[in-house]
Amino acid sequence: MSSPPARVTVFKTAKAGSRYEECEDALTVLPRQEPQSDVVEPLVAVVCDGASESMLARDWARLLARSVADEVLRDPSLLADGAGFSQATKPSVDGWGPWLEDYLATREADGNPVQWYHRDGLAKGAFATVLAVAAVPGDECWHWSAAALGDTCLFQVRDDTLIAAFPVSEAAGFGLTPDLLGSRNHDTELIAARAQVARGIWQEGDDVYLVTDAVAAWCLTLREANRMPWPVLESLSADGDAEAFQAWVDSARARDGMRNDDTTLVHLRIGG
Amino acid sequence: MPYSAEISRTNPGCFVFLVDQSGSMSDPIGGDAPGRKSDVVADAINRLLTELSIKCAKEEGVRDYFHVAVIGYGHSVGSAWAGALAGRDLVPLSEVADNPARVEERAKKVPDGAGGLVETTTSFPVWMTPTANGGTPMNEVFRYAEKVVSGWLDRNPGGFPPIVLNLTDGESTDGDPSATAAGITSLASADGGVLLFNLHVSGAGGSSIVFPDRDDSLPDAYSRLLFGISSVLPGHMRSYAAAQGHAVGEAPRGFVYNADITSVVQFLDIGTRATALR
Repeated sequence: MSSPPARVTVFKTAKAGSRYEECEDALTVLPRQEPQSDVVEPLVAVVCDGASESMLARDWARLLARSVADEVLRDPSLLADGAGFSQATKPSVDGWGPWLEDYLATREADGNPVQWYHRDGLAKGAFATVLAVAAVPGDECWHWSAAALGDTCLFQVRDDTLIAAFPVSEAAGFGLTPDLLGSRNHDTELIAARAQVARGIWQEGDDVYLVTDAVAAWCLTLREANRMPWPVLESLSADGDAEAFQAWVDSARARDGMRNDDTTLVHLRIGG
Repeated sequence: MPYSAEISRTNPGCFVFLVDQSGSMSDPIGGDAPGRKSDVVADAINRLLTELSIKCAKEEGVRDYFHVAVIGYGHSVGSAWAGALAGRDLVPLSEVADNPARVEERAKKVPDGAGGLVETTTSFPVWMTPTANGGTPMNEVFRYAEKVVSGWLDRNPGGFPPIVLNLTDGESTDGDPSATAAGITSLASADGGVLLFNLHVSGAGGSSIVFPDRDDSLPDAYSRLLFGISSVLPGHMRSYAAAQGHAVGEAPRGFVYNADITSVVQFLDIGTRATALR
């Protein structure tokens, strides 16, 4: 019995008022695929939301998304518990120091050294949420596991019904101070203790959405008001049209209360 | 809902600090810690601008989420910026950050990661230097501030309204400032009326009265006048003040009477607490 393929569609846009290059969300999906291709091998998706109050949040989010995805693809069992997840993030934190040294040296060489107002932020380090998902094809289904720090979310939808919401399941669960992974945080035990994990089964016909907090809060708010967000997300994905996605985001921010923030949506359609 | 506009580079916020530079500001501040009132106020404003610059700093530089004016009043009324910014009124925050009059290196103690403290140095940029000379022409500075704010609103009609913070140690010497204060607070953006907050710096010791919502505990006519011309704190500032441990009533005013060093810092911290930056 073969498993249904998973079709992956990805959208990302910056908050209104920022350029796309300034977007502090990052994501990595492995193995790398052509857009909207059907996947029938083990896959990993990691989405990170850089904290805008921190310096170099975008670069940290990118480094984290790539590094955690590499670790989890190599060993998906790292998402089984907090200790494993902490291990998966360790190379990122270990890699931050050397990355930062290169960055500072490059700025000096370019005649653009850091200024006095950068020093505090550089000393504190950068911060980001992390959502890591691994999925393995099985008998007519996919077995998934996930680990998270913060409020980047996974929603599993079947027949327009939300059957899994991880790690946040209510609109009230979104605030201005989610858990974050810091680039200078070598406290592996604390990371293990704060991480949340989940697992389950995806069946043919399921829609799985990995979303950063602005979209996640919008989805749960609508759902709690008995309005269905899922058909909207599904139709955006069916087109895979980045301009249509941007138009929808603009409209949701202007008329539907979606917070103006960097916005990422990864859609896994099970069954292609 | 008023006072809810998002602060961004395309819709920046605006702070106008009015700093009493009258002769009596060279007297010591009341309370336990020594220091001249003018030094305490200048230090507090320099620290606030430092923290604001750091908070708005990203890799490419400080983002212009705010524009800032520092206006002194005493012997004369006008810009109190020192150094390269001298003579300017509202300055974008990136230019403030890039143009301190000087940067002092001061010692500070930080945790060493092993339960102790280690001494390190930290940069302390200075934009205004203490001055104390002359009377207290509060009407004149309120009229000056009204022009600055009005010009800002012409250019930025839709954003979070300007916040004017007046730091003074004594009574106006050019008449009752109620009408000129109203000239400021009658201005508005689409998001709400301009806010005027007042801080009276202590010379006498005694306890500070911080963000009151009634004037019946105020000791004299002058403090009641300052209370009367102070705007009510918007909701998010009220919540922040409460979260900082202040016992605030339903409609606390942006007003502190008999401020010591701590309450000067608190006044500036709460009075510049804009809605979360995006």
